[in-house]
Formats: sequence, C-alpha cells, structure tokens
Amino acid sequence: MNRKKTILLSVIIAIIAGGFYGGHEYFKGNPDINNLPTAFHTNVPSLLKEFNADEVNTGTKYLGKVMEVEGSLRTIEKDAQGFYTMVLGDKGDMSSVRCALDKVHGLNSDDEHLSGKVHLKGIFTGYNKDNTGLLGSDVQMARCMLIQELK
Amino acid sequence: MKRTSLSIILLIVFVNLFAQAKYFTKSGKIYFNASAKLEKVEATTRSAIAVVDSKTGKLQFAVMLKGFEFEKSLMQEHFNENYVESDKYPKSEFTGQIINNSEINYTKDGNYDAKVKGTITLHGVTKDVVASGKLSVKEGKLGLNAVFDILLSDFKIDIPGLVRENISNDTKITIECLMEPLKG
Repeated sequence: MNRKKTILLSVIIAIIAGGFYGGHEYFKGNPDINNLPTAFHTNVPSLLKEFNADEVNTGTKYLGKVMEVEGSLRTIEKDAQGFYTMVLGDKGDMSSVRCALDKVHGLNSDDEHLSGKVHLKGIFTGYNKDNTGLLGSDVQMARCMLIQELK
Repeated sequence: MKRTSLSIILLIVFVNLFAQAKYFTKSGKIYFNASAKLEKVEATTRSAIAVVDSKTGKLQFAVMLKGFEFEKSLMQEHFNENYVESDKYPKSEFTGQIINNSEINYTKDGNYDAKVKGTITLHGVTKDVVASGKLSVKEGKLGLNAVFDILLSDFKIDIPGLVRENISNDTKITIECLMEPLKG
C-alpha cells in the first residue's frame, strides 16, 4: 500500500512539475540578445561583399543566427513609437546593414547622437537585394543591441 | 487664348516638377493578427521595405518573415519553423497598383482614400489581393495605412486541427508606413 502511495505521489509530482515546465516554456518570452551566444562576428564591408558574391548561400549561412557586426554608423532612425534602427554603411555606398534595436535595448539620449564606428549584436533576418539600383541592398537584423561605440 | 494655354502648360510642368516621383521606406511597420478563441496570436515587424511610384501608382512591399517578433518565444519558433517555413521562404512580397492613383494629389497635403490591387507572395504561393487604405500627404512625406485580410490556407499554411481554436485561418494584416521622397 505504501509502495502504491509512493508511486502515485511520484506520478502526481511528475505531472505537476511537467505542467510547470510546460507552462514556463509556453509562456516564456524571447531571450535577451545579450545572453545569446554569438555565432558570427564580422564587419559591414565584408558582410556586404559576401552577399554580393553569393546571395543564396550567404543568406542560408546567416539566417536566424546571432551576429556581431562592426561598421560606420550612417544614421539612427526613430519611429513614432520610439523604436530605433541603426543603419551601418560606408559613405558613397547605398547598401547598408540595418539593425532594428530590441525595445529592451533602446538608446538613451546620449546614444542618439552617436557617430563614427559602432559594434552591434543582433539576429540576421534577411538580405534585401535592390534590383532597381535606387535603394541599395540591405542586410536586415532584428532584436539588436548596441555593444559599444568604437573609437 | 494662347496665353491661357501657355499658362496651363506651365502650371502642369510646375506641379510635376514639385511632385516627387517615388517614395520609399525601409522601416515600414506590418502587424498581423491571427488570434482565435483560445489564444492571442500577433506579431509585428518594423523593417518592411515599401516603394510607391506616384506617377504610375505602382506599389511594392518586401518583408523578411524572420523579422516578425512575437511576445512568446515558442510562438515565434512555431511561426518560423512550422507555419511560414521562413528558412525555405524567407521573404514575403506584394506588388500592385493604386487603382485610383489619379484621384490622389501628391503635391497637396491631405488624406486620400486609396484602393490597391495586386499580388502577395507568401510561403511560395502568389495570390491576388484587393485592399483599401489611406494615403496621407504631409510636408513632402507620404503616409500609407491599410488593413486587409488573408486566409492562411490560400498560401498552403495549414493549421492542424488540434490548434484550430488557437490560431485563426483568417489573418488580419495592418500596414503603417511613412515614406520619404526617393532622390535620384
């Protein structure tokens, strides 16, 4: 009888624990990009060159991966809801790496005036090739955070 | 009479000089809602690319599906891996036309109703779509707001029977873009 009770209790505990774990997994939000391991570390000119050379395989290589990118900051965009996008790219080159910042890692008022070179971390979401010659091709990254301004 | 004709011609030329031909954005917002009885299913991307040609009314959108952000990590994972298969089909595109383009004065600040017809490509399937929206012209910029519905099943995105009460086949897409004149 005691053995049966022990088994029953163990099963109930296992079910409850499983329920808690399942609930935790179901409801958990996206992990902080700061805590995710970096798969690739590159710079803007190398990245754009890689896409120009072989768009398909380069896209497959990076899609959904956490990347750290260094490059010249071209502009910082801020939308009506206060979300930032940092655009990296060399002057005279219409192509860029566009990094949409995670809302958790937005910029403070000092960062809004950054210039020069920066180091960002984010998730590669795609490459938009410009076939018109008017917009420039863009590497797109989401859930980004500014790691540091480079001197 | 000749003076009047010349004035009209000059006016048309003058207006066209100041009407920007193309407008674009690379940070357009697209929000979709596929919520059902038991679950709230919604996501947003702020990286949509849009181009409008004010002369022809041609309109193009492109959005990376991995750019859609959900509140729940598991939902985002299922969206990418099981539903839209974004590794295989990373991008969704819309190509179309503003049907009533001639009724929109891109040189005069104001709000204009716009009817759009075109095709959406999603999950490797291309379908016709018609949508209504609003174009707002203000200080040389062009705002575009539109809401329309699609059926996921039209794009071979199957919802398993087990989760039919959690995910709606009928998905509402909301677009909000603020476009700047394209120079060049």
